[in-house]
Amino acid sequence: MICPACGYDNIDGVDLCENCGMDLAGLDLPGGGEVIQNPLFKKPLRELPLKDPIVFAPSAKVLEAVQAMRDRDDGCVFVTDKARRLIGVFTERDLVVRVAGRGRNPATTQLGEVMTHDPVTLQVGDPLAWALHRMGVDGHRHLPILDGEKLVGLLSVRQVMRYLTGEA
Amino acid sequence: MNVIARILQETTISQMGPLPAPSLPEDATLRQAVELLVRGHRGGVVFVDGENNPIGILSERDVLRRVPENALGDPAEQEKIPARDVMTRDPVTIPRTDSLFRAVQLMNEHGYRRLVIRDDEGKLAGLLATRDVIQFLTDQFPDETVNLPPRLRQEFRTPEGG
Repeated sequence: MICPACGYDNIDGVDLCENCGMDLAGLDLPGGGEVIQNPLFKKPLRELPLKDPIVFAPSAKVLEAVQAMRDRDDGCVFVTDKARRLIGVFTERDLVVRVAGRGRNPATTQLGEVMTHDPVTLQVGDPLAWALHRMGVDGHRHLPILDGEKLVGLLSVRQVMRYLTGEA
Repeated sequence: MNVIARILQETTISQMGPLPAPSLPEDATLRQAVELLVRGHRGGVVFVDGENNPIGILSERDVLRRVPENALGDPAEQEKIPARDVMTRDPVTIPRTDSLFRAVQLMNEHGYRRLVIRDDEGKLAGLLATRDVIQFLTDQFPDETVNLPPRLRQEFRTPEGG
């Protein structure tokens, strides 16, 4: 069967695409039950309320990021290089696990030491469904949204919930 | 009303499957709470009295907002701080017989991403996070949200099969 993700022609009946690892189980079953189509899920991310992200250099201290997150009531900061390309994110979860949990001094630790490198990003033209997948299945609470290589905003799980339920 | 709101109204929290709530006694230290936040993977820890009634919650956001700077990176200082000094008291709770729609309303209204779930006797029965609701919704729309390339962007940078 043809993998819907990469187009590789797999032997019938395999559970995972041999080329890209996509889960193929169930895709070749007839019918597939009731499929609910929802136009909301196709909305490009540029139409959602994106927040203006807090941005730091990797050499900034964790404490500076913490203060900025407190001031703005945000759960994450983005880390960019000199060319302003996104190279990492530092979230409230990273603060708990890598700073509070491991006992690193936030006044001397640099963001580059405790950030998550090469974060998952989405593009402004990507559908909301992809963000839902990243948030629901992978558990990301904050997604950097790019236009090409340019960072344009932060999509939070809170905003997505409000949007889905018609309150945004 | 959109189809998503309708699905949320027709589903009760108890139909969601396990929604574990990592919990600690109310006299726990901040250090114990931090360790359980790390291990629990639920974004929050619930504090209970001797009869398993929820009396407080500490989320990762609360750690960011309320833990004093000198204790943030110092386990010895975290030992000295009672969790009750930094937790949110009387957390927003919801009976597990309520709908997901009601849960989302409460989250939107209070600005919290987590609700403490109570059973029929008011005891701690779970923790519901915004993420759980989103995951539930993606499960309802598998064709639209699950059949994605496993590494979204990366798969499309170069033409396949060339």
